Amino acid sequence: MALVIVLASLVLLAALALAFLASVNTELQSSKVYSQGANAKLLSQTAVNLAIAQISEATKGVDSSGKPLAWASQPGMIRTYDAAGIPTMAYKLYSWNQMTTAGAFDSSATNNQIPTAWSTQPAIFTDLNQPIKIPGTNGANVVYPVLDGNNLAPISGSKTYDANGDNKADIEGFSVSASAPTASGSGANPVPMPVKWLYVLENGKIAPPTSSTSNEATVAGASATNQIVGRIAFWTDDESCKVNVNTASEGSYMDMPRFNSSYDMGPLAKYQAVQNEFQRYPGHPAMTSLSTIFPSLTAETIYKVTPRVAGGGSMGGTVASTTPITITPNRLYATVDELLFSPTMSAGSRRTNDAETGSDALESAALEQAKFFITTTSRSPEVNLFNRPRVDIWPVSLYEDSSHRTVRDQLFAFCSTMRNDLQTPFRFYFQRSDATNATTDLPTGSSTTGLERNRMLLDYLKKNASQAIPGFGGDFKTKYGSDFDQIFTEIFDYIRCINLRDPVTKTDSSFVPFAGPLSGTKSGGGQVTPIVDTVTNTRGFGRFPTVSKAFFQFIGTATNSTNSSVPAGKLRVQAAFFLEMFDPSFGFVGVYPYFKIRVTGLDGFQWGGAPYGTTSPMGFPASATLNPPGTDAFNLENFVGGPMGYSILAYGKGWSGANRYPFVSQTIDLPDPANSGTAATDKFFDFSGGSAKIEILDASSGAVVQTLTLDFPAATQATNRFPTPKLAPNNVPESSQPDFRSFYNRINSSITSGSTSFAGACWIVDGDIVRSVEANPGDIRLIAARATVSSADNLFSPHANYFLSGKSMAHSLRTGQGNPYRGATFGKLVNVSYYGVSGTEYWNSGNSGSYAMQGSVWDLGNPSSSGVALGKATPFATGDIPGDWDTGFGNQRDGPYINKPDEGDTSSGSNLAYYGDLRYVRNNPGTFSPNRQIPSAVMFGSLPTGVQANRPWQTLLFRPDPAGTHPGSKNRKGDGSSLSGMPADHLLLDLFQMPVVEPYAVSEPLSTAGKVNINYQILPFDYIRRDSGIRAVLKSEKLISVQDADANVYKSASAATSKVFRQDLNVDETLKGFDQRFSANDIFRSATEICELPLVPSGATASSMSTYWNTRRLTGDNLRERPYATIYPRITTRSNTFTVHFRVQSLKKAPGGPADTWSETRDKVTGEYRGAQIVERYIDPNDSAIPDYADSTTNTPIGIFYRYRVLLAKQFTP
Amino acid sequence: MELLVVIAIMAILAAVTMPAINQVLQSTKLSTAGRSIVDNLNLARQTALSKNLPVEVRFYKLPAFTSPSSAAPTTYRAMQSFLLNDTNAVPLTKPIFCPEPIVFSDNTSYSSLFSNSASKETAADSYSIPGYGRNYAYRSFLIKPGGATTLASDAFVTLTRENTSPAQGGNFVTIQIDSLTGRTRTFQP
Repeated sequence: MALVIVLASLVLLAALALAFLASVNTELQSSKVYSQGANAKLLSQTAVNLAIAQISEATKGVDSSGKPLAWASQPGMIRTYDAAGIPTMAYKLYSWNQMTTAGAFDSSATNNQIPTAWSTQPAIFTDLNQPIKIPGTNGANVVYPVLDGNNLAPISGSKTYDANGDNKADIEGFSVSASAPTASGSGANPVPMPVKWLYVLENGKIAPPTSSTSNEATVAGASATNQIVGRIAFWTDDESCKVNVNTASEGSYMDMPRFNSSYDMGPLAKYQAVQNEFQRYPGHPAMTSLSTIFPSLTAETIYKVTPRVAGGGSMGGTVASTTPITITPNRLYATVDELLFSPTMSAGSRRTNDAETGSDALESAALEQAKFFITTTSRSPEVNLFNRPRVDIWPVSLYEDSSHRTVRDQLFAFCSTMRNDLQTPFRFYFQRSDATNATTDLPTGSSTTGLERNRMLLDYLKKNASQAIPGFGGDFKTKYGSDFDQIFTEIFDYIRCINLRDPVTKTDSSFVPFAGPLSGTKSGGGQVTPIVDTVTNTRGFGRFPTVSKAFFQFIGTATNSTNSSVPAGKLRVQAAFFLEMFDPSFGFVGVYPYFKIRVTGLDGFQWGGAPYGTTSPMGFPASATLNPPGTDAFNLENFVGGPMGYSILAYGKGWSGANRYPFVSQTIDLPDPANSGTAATDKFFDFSGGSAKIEILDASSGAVVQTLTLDFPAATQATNRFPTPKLAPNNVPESSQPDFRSFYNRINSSITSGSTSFAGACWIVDGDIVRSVEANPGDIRLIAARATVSSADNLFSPHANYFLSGKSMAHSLRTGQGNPYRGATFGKLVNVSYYGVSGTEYWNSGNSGSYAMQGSVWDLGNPSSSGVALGKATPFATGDIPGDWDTGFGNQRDGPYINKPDEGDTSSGSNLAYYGDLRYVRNNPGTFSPNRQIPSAVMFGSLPTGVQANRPWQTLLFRPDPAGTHPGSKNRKGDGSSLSGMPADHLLLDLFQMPVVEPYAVSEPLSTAGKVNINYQILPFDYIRRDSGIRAVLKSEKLISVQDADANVYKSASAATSKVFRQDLNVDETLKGFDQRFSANDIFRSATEICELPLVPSGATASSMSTYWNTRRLTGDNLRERPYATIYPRITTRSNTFTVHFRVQSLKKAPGGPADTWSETRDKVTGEYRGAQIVERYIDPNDSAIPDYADSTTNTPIGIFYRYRVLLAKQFTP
Repeated sequence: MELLVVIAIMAILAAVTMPAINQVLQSTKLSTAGRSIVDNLNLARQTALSKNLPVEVRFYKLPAFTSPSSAAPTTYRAMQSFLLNDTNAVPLTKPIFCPEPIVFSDNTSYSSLFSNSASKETAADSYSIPGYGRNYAYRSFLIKPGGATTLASDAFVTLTRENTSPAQGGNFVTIQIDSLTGRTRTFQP
């Protein structure tokens, strides 16, 4: 009985125990599964760490012996180059059996390619982009981790996204080529991303597999005591190849207007961008267009989702507005997924961006596609090829208070300062303090404090430029020789003259602009005395005029019938000496010229009439100084530099007293040529010639700014005597004007034309004689760059008609507005038919009867009629290289300018900005933006490189040179000779940076966000093409060109032409240039190489670009370089942020079977972890171990201060 | 003599407690079944997380306990999970049958998972249940690799003794499945 009960209880207990154990079994199983999952997760860290280690090794910047190495990144790889330009190592950023290869990387080599049969070797290869299919009610939902493979359709041979089947790609720039190694069978992944597994052993060792059969892999080092425990696979994407949604928006073209065309007058002048309209600021990251990724979105809808760029303002150049755009400081997107939501709430839940834009372009399916093309975290380093910090090109005042530095200036200073923990931090920007002194801003001493830091930075730049450039080889010191220091001094002074009058002065009267003053008489406003580097004896340009022409004007003042003191038959002749000046810094903001001119040596000039043989002094003063009118600046017909008519020096001068124009001679009585009694041979006079020394002095201190010595040759032979003038007329069109028989009247009168009146026009009329000595060959930049010009320099020569007795006029004088004076010869920069140019000289026309002013013409003046040649003083002949000159702004003349940054001009009443009435300074905060003024260092492109070598019309080359003959090209020296290994000019750009500080701190010290990497080749998946980033950059750009045939319409006095001088780019053809580089198994080593790639306009092809410019010679050097100035700051070849996509599995070998072999069929995968991590390499600029890289003794590579952080870790779990 | 008395007393005690033991047995079965279902749901979820693949959880409708195995399916009383890799569905375990007489309640107010808004009743596919072949129907939901489920909202199933209902005071175990995290909670009176 008891037994029965015991048995019954036992049964009961057993039943309970069984039930318990059953659940235990399941729980045990669950725990095991969990632990294997955890193992897999830990393995993923190994994968990411391996990727970080590769990146860290590759970006060290020095090789084992300490020599500098340049590095460049692309998706999947980083390559390094030594100082001779030879590839040293290629670091794979994806799992492969050999992770680093020495020398150049050949992506077509068999062991670097993905075999087509990869899917049959699952123990060796794995597809990182393998999707997970989630069955659903509407068919399976297929989710891809890296690159979405849904909705792919073939268009033109390769596959791309086409969800709506309209045969147009949904995302531009993406395609999967037909040669993609897709596995066979339906349902195979159309966009596979196979990489090799790396096996992880129990002791942590990572080993690549080898395989002899399709399902097995042998792992070296695995044994029974050191089992295989897992395997990892990863591929690293370069974040900077994607478009950054936090910085990009939808770009809309804008530039300074430069033609007499309706396009330039409309969208560029009348409908300029307003304040905060970043999408129209040239070179700003907001000009990168998101519509490349979301083609169905229009500009205004895109501005609704961009965080710091808003729509409105000029609406893409269609509306005239002056109201600044209000930017709501919305949050920046942290991840791409966040693009689904807008910051606003509606009824308790967050609104989606889809609802905001009213389209379905930003719904989750579209964002799944777009995640491979957009990013929120792209950053690229701001270090040069030597891996040292770049120098900021935005100048900042020496004084740190708010009346000298604006908020933006402080931000720029912040972006280029390191070691703020020190009393004197390391500044990598130039400071300025005094626009009126030639030496204050560049002292001779070098230190980290104050202005001596400028010297230190200049020496730092020169040191970098005189070493062999890593990645390219060659150095600039060898290339330019004696002009090396001159070029850097020019660059320094160019930087010093950026932002002369910050328009914050309009709202804050206590602010002191650099080139003040602003109130009162404004004298000297906008003017900057050129800097002189006393250590190297070189000089910059400042913002200051120089002399381009000097001439004597002889007039007939009286005869016996007008003045009885004149003997009968004689004409009383008087002469005056004038200067025509020229300021190579042509543009806005305006300038109120304020200087003195002292001329000595005029007393040595003599003249004499018939009988010839004796001359008497002309009676000029031995030394006289021309002062500005009182405390006022010299008045001008235009106030924007460039060519300045001679009247500015004379206007307002009285006839007596201190304000008298000093360079008027005594009179001489010569036989009157109009008198019938005068013999034919007596109608001339001897001119002894002589040497005039002209000194330009600072108006307040009297210090000499420049000295020029001009020789006037003697004309005392029968063949070359000067003809005697005729009695000047005493009636002029307007009866209110006095007669022309005295210089006083001439230089004080004004001419009224319609409702415009030109004061101080000066006059050269029929009967006058003019003989001038002029700049020849006419590249006045070479004159402006010298502190002393002597006759030995051969920069001036007598006018072509000087010795021609039969010619009354021997000059090419122009007014400041470009009108030629009577009898002026023309000169051409290019041998085409410019507007208003015919014959050899300009004679009368228009409403002035026989007096001066032809209508406006657009040639320069003295250069010969067949154009200018680079490096030569002779006119252009076949075989010469066309000279470098700049196109003027608006409707102004072309000429030897230095591409002054545009500080902005606004329309006022009926005066259109840039075109109407240049006498007023109208820059205001509404048109101001640092990036708009100077998008990048490419703006230095018109600085001459032949000053010391006396090679005219030669400037820095920042554009393609298909012939390769320009001295700025690679393998050329500055004197034009070829020398293998010489660097191209564009590598100078790499030493500088222009930070972006608005709408938010896009730039930080040593890095900038939003730049697109031009190395878009994806390794090892070269069948996947993603060039959408570069398409987004190029979308809003235009190529500027003027055809030879348009010579008489591109600038003219007629109505605006509708011809198109700015064309959209044909991006497909332009990208062929990029593809060529990748097909040659190389990548771009520096973003500056963009300057060698031709931009192809719509309607042209890549192959036609080698001869394209031969028929568009009217395009100035600054215009050809302009697109590169706005593209270069938005591109890079290096990245600081990478996304590591990984797939890791924890493995368990089945018992039995060899320990070093993994069998796909027998052994078990116990857990898998897939995901991605975005890693960023960053540097703390205030790290106390960082030395001053501007110090020439610093040798520490900057690579050791970089650390890595994970910005985002995401698991692929759809 | 004393032994007889002891035996008699034991017999009386046994007779008195027998019905109670029945109760205990049944409630033990209920608890066991509940634990078993919960364990298997957890295993399914954990496998989905570790293998990074979706797992399908099925609740089978089988013939009643007393009917032969070829009769029409009428009651939900078994479950099974399948790992969905690229090519096929691999069962994680054998089918888990509820011990007799424990079944899932058909009433959708006690088992919201069985309402048509949460799952669809699907006919048998190619998989054969041992003992029943393809004579079954099922309702299922997916657990995604992140642990979330394809359920639109939280769902629950209730295990009861056949032919009793919780409203009538019967014993039950309710298992609630969180639709966003895939975790389970059990409710028992």
